[in-house]
Amino acid sequence: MQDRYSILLVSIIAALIRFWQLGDIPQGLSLQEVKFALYLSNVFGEVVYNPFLLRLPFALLGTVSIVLWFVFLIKYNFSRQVTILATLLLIFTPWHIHQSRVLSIGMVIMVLSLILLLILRKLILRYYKKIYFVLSCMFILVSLYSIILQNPINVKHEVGELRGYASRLNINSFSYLFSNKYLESLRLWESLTFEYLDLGNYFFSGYPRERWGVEEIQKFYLVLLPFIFISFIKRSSVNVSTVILSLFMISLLVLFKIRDSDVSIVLLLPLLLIIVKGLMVMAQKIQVLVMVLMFIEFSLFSFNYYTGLTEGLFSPRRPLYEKIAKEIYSLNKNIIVADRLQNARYYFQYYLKNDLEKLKFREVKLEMENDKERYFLDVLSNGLSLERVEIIKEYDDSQNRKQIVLYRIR
Amino acid sequence: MKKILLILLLIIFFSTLLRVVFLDNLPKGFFRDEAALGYNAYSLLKTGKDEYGVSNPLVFRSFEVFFLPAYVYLSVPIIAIFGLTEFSTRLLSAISGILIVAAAFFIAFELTKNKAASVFSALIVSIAPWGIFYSRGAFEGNLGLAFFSLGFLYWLKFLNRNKLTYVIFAIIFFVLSMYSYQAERFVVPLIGIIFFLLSFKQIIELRKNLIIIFLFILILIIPISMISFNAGGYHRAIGVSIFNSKQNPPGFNSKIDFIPNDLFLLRMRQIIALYASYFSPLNLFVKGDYDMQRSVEKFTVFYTWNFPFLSLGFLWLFKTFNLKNKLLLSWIIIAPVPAALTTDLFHTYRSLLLYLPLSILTGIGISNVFDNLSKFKLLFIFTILLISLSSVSFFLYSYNVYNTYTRSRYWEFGYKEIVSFTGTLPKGTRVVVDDYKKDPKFENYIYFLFHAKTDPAKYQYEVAKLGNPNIYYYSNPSLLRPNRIGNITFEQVDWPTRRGDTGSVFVMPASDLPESEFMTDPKVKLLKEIRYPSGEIAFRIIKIL
Repeated sequence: MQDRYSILLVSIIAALIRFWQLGDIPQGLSLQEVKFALYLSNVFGEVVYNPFLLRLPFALLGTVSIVLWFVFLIKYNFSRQVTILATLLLIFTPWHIHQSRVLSIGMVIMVLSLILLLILRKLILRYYKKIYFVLSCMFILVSLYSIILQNPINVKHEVGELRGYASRLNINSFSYLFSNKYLESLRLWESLTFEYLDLGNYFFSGYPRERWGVEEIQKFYLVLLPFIFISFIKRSSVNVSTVILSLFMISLLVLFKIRDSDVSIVLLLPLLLIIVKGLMVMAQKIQVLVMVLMFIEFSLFSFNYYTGLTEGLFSPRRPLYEKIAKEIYSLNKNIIVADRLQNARYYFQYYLKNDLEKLKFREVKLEMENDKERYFLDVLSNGLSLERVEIIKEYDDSQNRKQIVLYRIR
Repeated sequence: MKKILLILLLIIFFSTLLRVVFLDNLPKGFFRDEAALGYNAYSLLKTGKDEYGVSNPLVFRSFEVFFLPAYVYLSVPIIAIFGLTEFSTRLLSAISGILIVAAAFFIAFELTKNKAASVFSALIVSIAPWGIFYSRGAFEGNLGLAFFSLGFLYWLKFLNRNKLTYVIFAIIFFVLSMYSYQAERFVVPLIGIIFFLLSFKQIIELRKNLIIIFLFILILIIPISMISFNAGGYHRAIGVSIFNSKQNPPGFNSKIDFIPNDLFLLRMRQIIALYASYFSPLNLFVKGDYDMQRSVEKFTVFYTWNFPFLSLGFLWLFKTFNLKNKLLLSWIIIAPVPAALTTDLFHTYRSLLLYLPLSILTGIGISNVFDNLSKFKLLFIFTILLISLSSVSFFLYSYNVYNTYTRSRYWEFGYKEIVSFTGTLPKGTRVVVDDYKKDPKFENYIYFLFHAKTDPAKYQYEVAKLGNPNIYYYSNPSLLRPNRIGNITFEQVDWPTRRGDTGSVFVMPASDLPESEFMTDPKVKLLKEIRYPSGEIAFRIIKIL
């Protein structure tokens, strides 16, 4: 009975954090969300043009995942204290909050994994030592496959470059031994694997080793950092098995070269267990203090997150396109949208609810354009002669460090 | 024990090969700090004064770097024997590197009383990328680390044997490390306080000698304390301090005025992030120093295979959490603090103190596996040796081939060739060397002093024209030095206005003087092109006819 009330309370708190301003935060939709919505519009109609409703399933999955996590901890005989701490951490973890508020394949995988773990509970509890041995072997096999057999294309370029250095220095002896595709594949594997062991990746939004092209978000609160280390001071079987599970998950993520925070959220659960184990080493007063500090960090994070300040350089979301779409629609003019505005077609199709009658999407070469009746929407470039065009409106796309202009030909 | 000492000798011999062979030529190039250290030692040897003509300085001003004195003074006898060369300038750092290997052996033995741990620790240090790299350049930090490690060793000996002599030696070596490199000036006092508190019981037993010890420390640190209150003592620290950084911390938004966006809080967070990055496995085992001069292509401070053994070493550290291990942990915790308080990201030189204890823990981790094996011990040793040799081979190949190609320019390659060529020009030829930096510092002069082995007395005579150096030497951190050495002038050259300087020879970086600027001009004659090892043109030396 107590558990039922606990589950209810957990669900309510989790839902509040995940559903509030769901359509507006994070600001703007990603290309993935937009394409998904356009696909769903064939089935569900116009309802998907509401960002809140579009994101609703993932917020629900996020909330359900917390409930499942709570049940998992009880059913797997973790102590009451561990269950409460781990569940609280999951509810308030920035990583989970963010992934519950966007289209997230990782959230689907997390829920399915938890369901599977609950279904196979008896089997796992009975054979867990053998399972972890199997997982260890699979980790090694998957890693070896990544290194030896996969051989990605960009490794060939790297090898060629390195052999070029040796050749130009007239040091050709052993260059095939010291630069070859297997060695470079191993280095790539190491690089990707150790990205998952980088503290900055989890606690400091990637700082100082931010990754080019990867959306860096804060995953855990800073106050929890010491407990990753403290966790290993007292050895326990849970730690060993959690580490093995984490390594296996990392090997899969590396195999598929997944670096973003979406699918990799599957790592969140074992990492939370490790952190909680570290917390459990401390006296209860310290645990309470840590939770208080965590709530303070949560407040600070919430301020930044719900005001849109946590959007990083490589955020996939394009809030500016919503503004542009609605403004140009209100002009009621025929407009040509240049293909330099990447993927604009999908965004405008979404925000204008498929009403693209007055818009055309194509390549624009200003020197060959003569239509003075139409407007053009394009990225401001050096080739845009102000003598030839009249600028109607400018948009600052600071995210892409560009200016987007609406203009017409004089 | 004799057998083990023989193994140590073999490791030291191997370390010596790795650190001394081709020392003058690998890395390719010779950085200006090295030239400054070497030339000031040469100047001391010849005149008893530094390049500014100051007798027995406590810091060496050079180009406003204010080097700490230990490296320069200890290089004097080396330069006396070998002459002023790249080899003799770097040799002290190489010797320090070899000493560090020996120190690792004895420290591990004092910590564990385990011979295998000692041997593996020495092995790890001898082949570690950080150990080889920082032993092959004139790095004062390496000398500082050598002294610090000896200080730590003698402190452990004191704890094990309770003799006053060991305390004295420990203090001497710790203080010497403070005279060697900036990071130690910060770390040693902190470590000293922590060691004192942790070892209080043992120290109290010295009783009557305590006052002597405190007086001894005071006398040794008076000189370095005095200069700390002059610009010469703090200029460098302030220059690189994160609190003086013009760049905002990550996450700061100047338009928001609210607690989450508080500059101080975000700066503190940034410092914690930088501190944590020195323990990040990604930085320690895969990605190297951001700076191209301080890194080897494809390598960082440790080899990847060291990671599991370092993890085991840490488990051992916490499992056997006695006094000595607490001291070791204190060293590990404090070591990266100076680096974390500066603006540079993952600065391996400033955090050099960190890598020796981590190497020792790695060696202990290996020995834990070795000791727990009931069978196949020989096979394990063979495997470790094979992996070690392979790793160091790949490292040396990268260092010798890839770094030569990609990073010679960051080691200021080319100046030796420039000096050599300008030395062959007719006497009295006016030579203008372009200082091509946007924020001109006119630091290239040091290469001409070094490679030409300019008579220090002559240069000191030029410096004296600026005023009495004893007045400004420690207190004024502004750029103050002559911009000429004999017929060679150092300027920021504005080529369009200077191309009419008939008779002058200009030395300019190729990027500032492309072919199009002079190939069709009959009044400009190309005298020489200096190329990087990659074949790219580094400098052009031209004459205006």
